[in-house]
Amino acid sequence: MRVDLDVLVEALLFAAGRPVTPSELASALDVPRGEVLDALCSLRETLIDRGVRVQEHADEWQLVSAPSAARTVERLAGLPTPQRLSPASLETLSIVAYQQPVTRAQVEAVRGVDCSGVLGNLSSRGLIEEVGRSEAPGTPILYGTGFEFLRLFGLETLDLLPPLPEIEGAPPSR
Amino acid sequence: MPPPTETPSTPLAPYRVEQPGFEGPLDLLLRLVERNSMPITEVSLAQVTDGYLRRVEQLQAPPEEMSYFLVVASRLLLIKSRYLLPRAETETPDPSAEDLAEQLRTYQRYRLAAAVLREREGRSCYLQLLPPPVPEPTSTLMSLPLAALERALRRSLSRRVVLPKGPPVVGVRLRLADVAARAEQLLRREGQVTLQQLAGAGASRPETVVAFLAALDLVRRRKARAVQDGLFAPVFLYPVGEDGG
Repeated sequence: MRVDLDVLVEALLFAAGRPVTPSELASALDVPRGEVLDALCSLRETLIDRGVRVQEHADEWQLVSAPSAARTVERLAGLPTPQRLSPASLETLSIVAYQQPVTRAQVEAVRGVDCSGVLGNLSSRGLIEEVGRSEAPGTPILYGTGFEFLRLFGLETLDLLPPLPEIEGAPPSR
Repeated sequence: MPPPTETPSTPLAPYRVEQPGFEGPLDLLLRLVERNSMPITEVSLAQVTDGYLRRVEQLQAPPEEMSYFLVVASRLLLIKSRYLLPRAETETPDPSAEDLAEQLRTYQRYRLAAAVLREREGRSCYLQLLPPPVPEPTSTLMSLPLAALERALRRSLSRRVVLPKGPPVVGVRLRLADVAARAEQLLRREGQVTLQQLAGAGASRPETVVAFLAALDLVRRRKARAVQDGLFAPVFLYPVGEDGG
């Protein structure tokens, strides 16, 4: 029974070809959501070194090709290699990725420069998205990363983001 | 990294040329500190203050961008001044210095994080690339034989088209040359004329447009000069004198 559900979940993820929620799968499979979640997690373990991977973001799951196959897939599909981000964009993106949800003011406090243009570019590339509003005065927009970010950097979930580097020789923060 | 050019006798090129990528005051400051391979402390900030100020002097940036550099410059100067002047035993540590060092350390961490991300960049995962099936466009025309189409075309072409009767169209007898001539006449007689006068009281849209064009034409031909004292104020035309003024 257990094995069957794993197989079915894998088949549904493949056939859907888009992000699906465990609830959607549960109603299609007519099993409790918890069992679907277990199946998804075990599928993720099974596929950890395969050509397709399970990618998860904000309770949505999808099957994607392995990051190591990126160039080959691009050749097959005639896709251009994605354009490299500018240093400013990448710097801003990493702040959003590690501090999310984060406001523009918080990003600017780290970078020390105006970031509205860079945030706009990242938004239009789909690498960051509005995830809500801060309760600070003016209810500024909160930014976070989405699937597109995980996709471009070949991450299966946000939890696999490498830890924020520590600095050697830095005195302990006050 | 370009070789260090710290000697003051070597003038630095404008920063966008020499350093194509610095991304703001903290980036510049961090590069200066890292060049000296020092940890980020009050002392190291004081040491790179001069280098920082030299770069900012060379900087050609729009004012709003420049302001960010100047804010950091002022904080650096404060730090350096405290560092140079003997300080009283009782003096508390300078919070602004510690703030800037702390901010720079935080910035450095994200810079390192960006470098880690850079290595992964483009190792993209792809979703199924097969486009979803699109239903064939169905059209009733597809099943029609050519002959039937031709018959339908002939039928519609042979139909007499009756245009509805409307009021006759009368050409507007308003010529730019006439208005310009009238303007010149007025200028000679009155010494000045406003655009409003030229168009006439209660002028229609075409009359206003032609009056405006006529005024432009006069100015272009140096027959008149136009003066307007403020936004939406009347436009006065004056004849151009012999002296050209």
